[in-house]
Amino acid sequence: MNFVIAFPGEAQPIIEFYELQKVSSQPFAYYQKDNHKLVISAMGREQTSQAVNFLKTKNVSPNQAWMNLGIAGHGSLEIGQTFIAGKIEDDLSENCFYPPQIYDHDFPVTCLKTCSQPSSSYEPALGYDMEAHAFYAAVVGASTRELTQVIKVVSDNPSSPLSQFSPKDVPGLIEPNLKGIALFVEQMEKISLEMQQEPEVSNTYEKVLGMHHFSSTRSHQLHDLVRQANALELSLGEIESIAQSAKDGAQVISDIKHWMEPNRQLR
Amino acid sequence: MIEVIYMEDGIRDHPRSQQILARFPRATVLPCKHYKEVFNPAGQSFRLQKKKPALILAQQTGKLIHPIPPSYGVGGTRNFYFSHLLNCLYDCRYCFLQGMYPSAHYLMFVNFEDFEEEILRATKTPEEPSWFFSGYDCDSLALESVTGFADHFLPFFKKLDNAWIELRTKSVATRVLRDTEPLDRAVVAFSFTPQEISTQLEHGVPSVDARIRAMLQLAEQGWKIGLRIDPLIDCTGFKDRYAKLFENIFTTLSEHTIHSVSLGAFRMPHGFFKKMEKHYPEEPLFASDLESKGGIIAYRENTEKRLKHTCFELLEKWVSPDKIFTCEA
Repeated sequence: MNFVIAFPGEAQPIIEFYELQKVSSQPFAYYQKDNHKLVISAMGREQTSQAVNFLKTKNVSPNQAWMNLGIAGHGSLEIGQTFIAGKIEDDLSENCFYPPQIYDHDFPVTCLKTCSQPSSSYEPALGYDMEAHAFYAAVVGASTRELTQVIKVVSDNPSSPLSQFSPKDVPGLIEPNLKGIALFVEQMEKISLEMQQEPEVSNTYEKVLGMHHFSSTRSHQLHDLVRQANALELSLGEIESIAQSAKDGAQVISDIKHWMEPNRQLR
Repeated sequence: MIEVIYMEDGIRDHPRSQQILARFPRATVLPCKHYKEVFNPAGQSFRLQKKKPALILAQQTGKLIHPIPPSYGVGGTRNFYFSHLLNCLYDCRYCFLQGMYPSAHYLMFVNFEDFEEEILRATKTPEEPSWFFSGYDCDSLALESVTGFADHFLPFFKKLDNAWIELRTKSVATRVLRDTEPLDRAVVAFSFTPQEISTQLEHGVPSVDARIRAMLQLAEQGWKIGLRIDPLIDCTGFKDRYAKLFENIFTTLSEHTIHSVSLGAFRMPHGFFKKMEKHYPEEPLFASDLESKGGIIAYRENTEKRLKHTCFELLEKWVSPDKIFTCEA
């Protein structure tokens, strides 16, 4: 999971919950432990985009889980209520994002508007923040939209407006929601794993690739064949043996095809 | 079942939108200007959305009915399809929808009346009857409880004397048909693969036996039944499995209740296939003995011929050959 969080007060409960360690302070405060990574972006669109791009450099495989988490104003939800952004608007753009909702949870799903300035006016059923839209725009392309989600905890609303809000209250708003957030994170991570290529396929492919010279076209063919053999539950070890006996890349492809041919029927 | 509903601003007050919202009082409703904002963006995962598809309520504009090549028909020469719904309740691994659409959300067009107008225009002039196929981009019946499609369109087609409608389905939710007097010019077409294949590839689809029972009920009521043996899937024990399937069907249903049988081997536009393969790299079907020819991925010519010929011969034992139609890519 890649957390992108604007303020230290919002990040602290997550850092403690996942026991993250500080890795670096520049250009952004960056924390990590195992597969959990967190960057503190500071407020606003530009900083958020840059923080996402910074975190992208720490990820090598595609389809990782990404989450923008923090506080937000809301026109109708109670203070301390966690919500999921089902639609993300922007006060400077017509473009909206609709993060697909595929997870099980008890949080309300509502619209969220990213604003250029802190907002003290509230419309019903609408949340207000300053980062989500930029976060989503920056992540798109690095992961699927289902794995890119925005979770906010309500910090202000019409009966308790922004003017009465103190930044000191932030950790106290996030902490009671950690259990639910963690369950959500767990589901996203599970889905992310499901989207990763099976390691047996990459391992066999890399091994065979190292045995002979393969042109670009043949290396694609080889990858397809290894993946297909895996799908057909054929022995990938046999592919390595075939490759070892072959005299060049062309023969590897031809021999693997020949070996697979009788097994290409559905059972 | 439906947790999130995206709704175009323009159809918020449409009576059909309101009826659907009333059916899902607990669903989150999110507004959008145009369905394409939700449905079309790149970077969505069809596979992941299949876990929990949302419903998009929208209005279809532009051309609402589309011609179909004669080789895909079942006897008619003027063939059209129309889609009140894009995407399907079921999750069949061979289905082209996975390769065609960027999203697995159910996209329903609520402006049924506009479809009707265009169907009326298409049926006005010619003397020969027109055929309308409703199950190309969705299952015609599986989401009936949400869409009310058949409930609305059957009375409409009943009034047309030169139009046929085919409802194509794998659903056993046939109550709307059981509650309706059979139409002279309607075919309820059920798609089948042998149960062993269905178990592997047709996720969420009722069993073959359940579908045969549903067909029998409708046939006894007087509905004309179509059999869609499409796609044919090459598999071990192909002949035995398809023979068993046909035996199960034809020892239950009388031949005279069968309007038509169509056969078509698995085939897919190349671009769709590549997307499907990317979604499901572990799927054995996509590792079958396929070849790319003229932009279409299909079984090798000899294999395709064998599958079709075998099934044709098996079917001839049960049904008159003039009722059997072969779909060509």
